[in-house]
Amino acid sequence: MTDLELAPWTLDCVPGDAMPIWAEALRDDNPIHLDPDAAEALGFGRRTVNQGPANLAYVLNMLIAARPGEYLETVEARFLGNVFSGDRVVATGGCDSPEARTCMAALTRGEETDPVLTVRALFRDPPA
Amino acid sequence: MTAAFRTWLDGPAAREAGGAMVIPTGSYRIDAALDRRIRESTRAPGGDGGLAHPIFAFVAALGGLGVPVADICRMCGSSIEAGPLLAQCAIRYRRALVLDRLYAVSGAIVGRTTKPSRRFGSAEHVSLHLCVGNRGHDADYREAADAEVWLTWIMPQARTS
Repeated sequence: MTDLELAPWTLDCVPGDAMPIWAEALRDDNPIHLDPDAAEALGFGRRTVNQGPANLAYVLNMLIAARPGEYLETVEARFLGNVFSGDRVVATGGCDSPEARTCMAALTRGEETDPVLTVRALFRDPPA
Repeated sequence: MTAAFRTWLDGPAAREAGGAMVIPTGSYRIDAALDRRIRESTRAPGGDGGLAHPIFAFVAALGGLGVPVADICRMCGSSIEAGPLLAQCAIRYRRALVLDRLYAVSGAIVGRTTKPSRRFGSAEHVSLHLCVGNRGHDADYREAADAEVWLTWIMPQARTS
């Protein structure tokens, strides 16, 4: 349970044309991210699957915007579902208090309520 | 099969240390242009003071390994064409990653478990421990690392028939 809700972060349309950028950066040419035919053949439907680190980046964007000037110490993420090209995603989260070092966050897609990604983030203590 | 992977299988690069299979060391440069492209693709604001977006701890850890993801899949009896999925990850930041700096990247496969899978029938859960900014996966690697990443992939197993 968190008492301080962080401002949500929304991406209205996951860009399919960014997936090759991530594939190259990660040296990961998993075809589900690049080829709609491959994604469909593997049971994911006709749209390409967004890379997990990209989904995590959306959540980190939300956390960074909510805690300006602070630095992350640890991030723990569980990837529970898939995000697809063209999806609308929303990152939400909260902390126990404005001073709390730990924040919990989640990413949901479209109108679904079950998160596709959950994140626990720990921020560093501010310098003395 | 890449030359790096062949060397890893056959040569001294493939060794076990404390039960883990060490992956060949590589490197990664987070150049400003790539940071900008990643920020634009995720609608993140521009960078501050030459620091990379924090997701680059993961990107550099995976992208900077001495072998690509496809080779790691093959080593684990799977294939990149089978569509492996990321199950979980953890990142520890000791220092913020800096743009236009070359980081050493090392890693090891630290766990493998076969589990039934609703999507794949049977899958190998493969766990890696990766370090960015250190000199290698030796006894002191963790203290020297700017960032550590632990991740688990769900890799469909190759069919035998």
